[in-house]
Amino acid sequence: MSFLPLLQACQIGECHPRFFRTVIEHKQILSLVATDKEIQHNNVASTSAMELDPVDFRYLIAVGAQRKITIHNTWTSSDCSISCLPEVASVDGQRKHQHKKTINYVQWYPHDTGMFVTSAFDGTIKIWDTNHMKPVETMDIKHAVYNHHISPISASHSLIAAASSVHVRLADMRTGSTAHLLKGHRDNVLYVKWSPKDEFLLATGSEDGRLLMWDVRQAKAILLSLDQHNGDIGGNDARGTKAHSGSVNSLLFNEDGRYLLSFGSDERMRLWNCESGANTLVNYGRIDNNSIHRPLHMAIHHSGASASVVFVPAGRQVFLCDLYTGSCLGRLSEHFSQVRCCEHNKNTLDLFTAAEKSKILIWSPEIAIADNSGIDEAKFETGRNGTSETDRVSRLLQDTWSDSD
Amino acid sequence: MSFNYVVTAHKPTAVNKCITGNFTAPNELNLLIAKNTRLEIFMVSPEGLKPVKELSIYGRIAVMELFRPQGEEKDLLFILTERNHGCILNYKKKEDGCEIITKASGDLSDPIGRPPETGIIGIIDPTSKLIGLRLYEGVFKFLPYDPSSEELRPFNIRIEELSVIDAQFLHGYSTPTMAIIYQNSQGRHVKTHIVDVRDKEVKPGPWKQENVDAEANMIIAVPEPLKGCVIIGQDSITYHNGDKYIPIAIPEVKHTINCFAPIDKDGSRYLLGDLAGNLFILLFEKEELMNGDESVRDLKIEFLGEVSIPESISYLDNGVVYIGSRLGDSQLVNLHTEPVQQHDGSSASPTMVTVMDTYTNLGPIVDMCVVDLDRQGQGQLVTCSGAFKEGSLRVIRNGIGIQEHASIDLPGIKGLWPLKVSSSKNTYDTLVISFVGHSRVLKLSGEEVEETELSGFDDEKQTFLCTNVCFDQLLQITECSVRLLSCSERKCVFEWKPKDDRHISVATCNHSQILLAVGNLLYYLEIKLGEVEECQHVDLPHEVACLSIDPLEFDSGGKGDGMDVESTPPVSKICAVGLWRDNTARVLKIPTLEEMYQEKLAEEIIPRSILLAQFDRINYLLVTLGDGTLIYFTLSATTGNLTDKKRVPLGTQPTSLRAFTSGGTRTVFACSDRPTVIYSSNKKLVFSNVNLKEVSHMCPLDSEGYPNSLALANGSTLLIGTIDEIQKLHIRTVPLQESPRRIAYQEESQCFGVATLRTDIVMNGKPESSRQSASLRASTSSKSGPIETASRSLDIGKSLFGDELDIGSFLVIDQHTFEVHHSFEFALHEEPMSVMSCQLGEDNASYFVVGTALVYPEETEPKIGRIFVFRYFENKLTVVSSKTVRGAVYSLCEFNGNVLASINNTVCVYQWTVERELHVECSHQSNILALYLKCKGDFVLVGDLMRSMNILSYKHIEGNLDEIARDYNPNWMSAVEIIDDDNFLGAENFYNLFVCQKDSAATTDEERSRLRETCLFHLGDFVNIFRHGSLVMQNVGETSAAGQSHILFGTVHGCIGVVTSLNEDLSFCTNRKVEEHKGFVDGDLIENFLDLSQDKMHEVAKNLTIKEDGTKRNATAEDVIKAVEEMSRIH
Repeated sequence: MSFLPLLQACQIGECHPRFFRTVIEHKQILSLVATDKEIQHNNVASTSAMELDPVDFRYLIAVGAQRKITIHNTWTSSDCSISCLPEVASVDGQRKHQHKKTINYVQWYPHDTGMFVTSAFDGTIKIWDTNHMKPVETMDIKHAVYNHHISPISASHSLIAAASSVHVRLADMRTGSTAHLLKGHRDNVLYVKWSPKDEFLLATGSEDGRLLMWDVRQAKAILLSLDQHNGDIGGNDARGTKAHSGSVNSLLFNEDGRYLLSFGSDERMRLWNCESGANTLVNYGRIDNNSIHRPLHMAIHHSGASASVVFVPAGRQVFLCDLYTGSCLGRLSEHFSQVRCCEHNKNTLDLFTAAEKSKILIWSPEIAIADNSGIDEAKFETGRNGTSETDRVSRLLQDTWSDSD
Repeated sequence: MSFNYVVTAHKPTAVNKCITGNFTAPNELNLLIAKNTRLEIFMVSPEGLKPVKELSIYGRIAVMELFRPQGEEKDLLFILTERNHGCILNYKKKEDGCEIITKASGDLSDPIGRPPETGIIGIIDPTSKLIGLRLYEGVFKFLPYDPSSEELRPFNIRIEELSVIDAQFLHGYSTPTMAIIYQNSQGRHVKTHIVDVRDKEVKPGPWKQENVDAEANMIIAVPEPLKGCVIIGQDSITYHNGDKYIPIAIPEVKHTINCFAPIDKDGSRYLLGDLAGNLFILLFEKEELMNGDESVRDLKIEFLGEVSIPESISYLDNGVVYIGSRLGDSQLVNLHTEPVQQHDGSSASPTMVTVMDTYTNLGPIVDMCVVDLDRQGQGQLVTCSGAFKEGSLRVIRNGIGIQEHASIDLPGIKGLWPLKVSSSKNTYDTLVISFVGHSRVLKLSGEEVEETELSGFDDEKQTFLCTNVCFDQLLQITECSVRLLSCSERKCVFEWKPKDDRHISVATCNHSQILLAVGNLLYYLEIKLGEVEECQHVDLPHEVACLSIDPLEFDSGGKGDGMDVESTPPVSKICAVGLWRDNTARVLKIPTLEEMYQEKLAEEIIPRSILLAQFDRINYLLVTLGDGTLIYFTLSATTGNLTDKKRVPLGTQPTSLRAFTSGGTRTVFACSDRPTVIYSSNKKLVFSNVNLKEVSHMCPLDSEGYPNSLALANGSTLLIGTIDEIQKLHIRTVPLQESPRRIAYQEESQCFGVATLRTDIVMNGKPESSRQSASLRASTSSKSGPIETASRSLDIGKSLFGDELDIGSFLVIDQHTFEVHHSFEFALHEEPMSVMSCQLGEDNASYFVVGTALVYPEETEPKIGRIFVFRYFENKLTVVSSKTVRGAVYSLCEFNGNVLASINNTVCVYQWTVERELHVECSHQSNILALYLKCKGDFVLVGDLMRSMNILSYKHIEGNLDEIARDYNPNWMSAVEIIDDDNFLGAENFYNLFVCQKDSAATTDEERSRLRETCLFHLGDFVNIFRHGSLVMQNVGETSAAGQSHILFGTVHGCIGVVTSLNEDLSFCTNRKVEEHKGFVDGDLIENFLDLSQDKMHEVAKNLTIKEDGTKRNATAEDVIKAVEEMSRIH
């Protein structure tokens, strides 16, 4: 759809501003290109996770190998001279209160940027004070933690769900206790995610191919085990229902929590209806995923009521898929190694992607550059003879040798 | 901290929705109109629409429905705002008025939910037990109506279908049954659901229909006995009631139908309105079934006529329909069964719809400019309003209106005076009119005016003065003599002539005293019974120009002009004289005529009229000069001293002053080419101009037929009318009949440059227009040449027959007559985007600069545009220069003699070279799209599409633009304006206003480059344009309480408002906190304070403290009233 008629319709009240925004944003999402902007890096360590702060979408925190934690300020002026996002704070790998192994996941405290939580392969979850860049609390889980999540809407509990080996551990931020265990998976749990709508609903995915939904208040917590075949017995093996025929290594809820997207190493993505647990059978096609033992992080952009765009790390590319119809809207190819995580800024529509052996790349919507130096039209109605393009070209082609030879 | 004051000068006028019902009483038919945040309630009566009440809702009205639950005798009103706040209102009649009572209310929003694309749907089931709302995608919220509860308790039910287009409750079912149109990848379908309130779930309903019209957008529920529903689509209309399915094709309807209104209670006829303003009627052809029931056999649709593009229509009664329009004026129309000729005598073909009444709507205001057309110091707003065929220019000005009652053609009037001749009545019954060389006497009997004779009256001379005086006598002063006439004896009883038969040059009198001048000689005479006594005379240094002997102690009970003979008429102790040659005003004592004070008025200009007047118990002396200026002083009655001299430019011609009483208050009318009414408010003189072209003479006229009226004369007519009580906005409409997009005013050529867009239809390979809109009515016209560097062929050949084509034009419109002098048509697909008038470079000439864009439907963003420089001189428009650029020229600004243009995402500075061409000097790339530009000095404020605002600074030495600050919040801007060097006002498209502040004094570079949002305000309307300016006359020398600059804004709903910053002295400390906005003071709320009762005023004032002269003290109600009235004068 053309932009100008839409803008004019907005000005006379024919177009609702919300609709206007979603159309423009949708178009821009589809036109993402890698920018020259860089994240200021002292060394190129592989990033395993990153997140923008949920309040202003300003500070990007990234964690990865070599126990490095860095925070960058993404608000820079538009002057092209500044091509680098400055590093605001960082944690060196050498201090004694650092994680001892690769940090797997980081999440800002959902309500402000004063705190963030990291989890690492060394089996600990650390809660950090951002201003001092020191951990305030360390919770020992004793098993390698692949992923953790704090509920973004929780009002009555402050639990961190941690995926560690076969169980899901619930660590309480208030009391520091880590006793609550959720048992049900048969292999390493790779991903945990709280529902954005229901503060007690937790979804977990593991290497055993199962995707379980839990209500953490109940003793018998498992609500549903999502079945990729929707109850069709023939496709199941004896051990029970499976969501994917490989590991489930990424989960994402849509904005109102009614649908859950899962991505597995069977190179399939599945969209689940959260109330019924049914597989909606949306076909996303085949998407590269050879991380059987590592979680991947997807990002989502909500474009209005009936469309959402998911950014999926697929091998060396990032796929853009429509959440509800499954169609592939585009591919971003710029990395040379496996893409690990994506993070999306819903205000500026920027996308941050990080791969195994590269720096964090920033993608922005392509802007139509109005370069005015080229065109110089012949003036009319003033009786002047301006030089037009054709004139200049013809002069260039003219033979400048003198006739006399 | 400084606050900003936001107040509406003109309430929103665009209609969102209108409904009818019995809201005020069971037998009264009401029309309720929702205008964005305002609700207007009218009563429908045979004389027309009578306003009952108007109220403001704190939110944009999204749903408005009347329903009548069991047990209620009249309807209740359900309102839902766009932020999902709902309430049920009841109307209660009280002794002194009426009140709207909130029966129940509540916040119906959910914390998590996807806002729907097709808007909020709100429906009420026919038994009025259940209210259904679709606020979020995939969820329906139901509210059972509980008469006893004050809270709204909804419950949610999930619906499988996403993308619900429309929903309605069907009639005739025992449990609430809903029919919905929903869309999926296969098209649009209709489904019914039964709502089970007890189990809180929906079950599949009695029927469903797959694949209805692909553009089906409305469902009408048909009431009993026919039942069923009508599905309205683009190509077909279908009737469906479960068993029957009757579609009809509708080839007559070429545009989308967007509103309907049932005509009959049994639902057999419906009015349909479409987006082009066509009105249709849909009829059911019924048949009788064997069991006696009626059922629908067929549907028929008929075209009725053309109306304003409707947003909502309501059938009132007797063929009268209210058309509520958002894009143009709302109308009250009459439907006829046979085609009739239009009343306005136009050559339009006979139609079945005639317009009875029109209600002005300013919205949508797309652009506006503040001009001072009459050069009077009072701004007028000229807005580009409306869209499509409703497009118009509206000239808005503040003033007092005169309601005309009678008008008589009488050229050459030199004076007007009312008389009471017959002693039986207490009102005026005669009007004396003087001409050059003779005078006339008119008798007023009721509303009739006829010439009569007055015995004793010298009608062969020009009368200088004629009035009732004491002792039941009349006084007539002509240039020869002073004649005293007795009312009872009906003859002239005394005549006084000046010595040596010299001619009287100026004369004035009051009830018992006469002051007249014969050249330099000033005479003071007193009126006695039967004679006029010459008391004193004095020789003044120069000839007398004007005189005033008006008494200062004004008895407000009587009429003050000598009518009331019972009370002792006031006697003047001082008089005022204006002299020629030395141009002084002198105050003289009565009866000795000794000079008490003199004051020089102006150098070269003669005083033309002088008046002593008392306003609010303060004595003033007002003098008007020959150039139309008014000078006034505060007068001390005892010493005669004149102090506090103030000047006010009133008109350009000599003005005469006349005092009268209006509504109990003393008022002075200044007759000039810009008639003004002067009155006092809060011990200050207020000047309001009257919406009349020119008044040369006036007098108050309170007769039987014309009570409390004024008689006004200009060069050719005598007008009798009444004056409005209050100041209000006067709107003049200039219809263009195509969409105006941008406007700019050029003072040099006295014209407006207006960029418009009209829609033509391609027929026979050429675009043809359906109506003679403004660009086709121009006196002269020209076309733009083709764009050579465009990459694609621009011929029409690709367009199909019947396709719509938008043609952009630039019109030059005269500022006085609003005639279109010239129309310049742009190239195919070229649309004008911005217009400005400025002087460029070293040239002294004024140019119109227009920026355009080439818009192709397949392209997402324009890649090519042009900047034109026009010169309109001697009725010819020439293209001086044009430049092709790589993008759309969204905004233009004059920047130190250069052209500043925003082209797509770049802001460029173009220099105007000696060869009269535009040449790029420098440019700066902002973020996404630089849509709005404003500049001040070397600073440029850029409003971006979605990245809020940023400030650029032009560095002279390097000659380039640098960004110095930006706001990082993700605001989608709709308009920007510079308040001052550090504060910037922005409007963003979710209806909010905010102010950003640049922190120049900040310590770090990073903080200096960040704009902080200091103030936020939810306005509730989409602002399109900000302009510096004011609608009220600024008085020179008077410091206004409000800050320096006023910024006017215009919105999509036709609301005009003012934003101004408050000075410290006026800020109150209150303990009332509104968490939605900070830093903004809601002016409308403050002005409502004046409507409160005394007790409530005191209550509010109790909690406020006021800072006066540096100390704080408790505020009283009077302080607050004074402050509020001062603020209310800014609009």
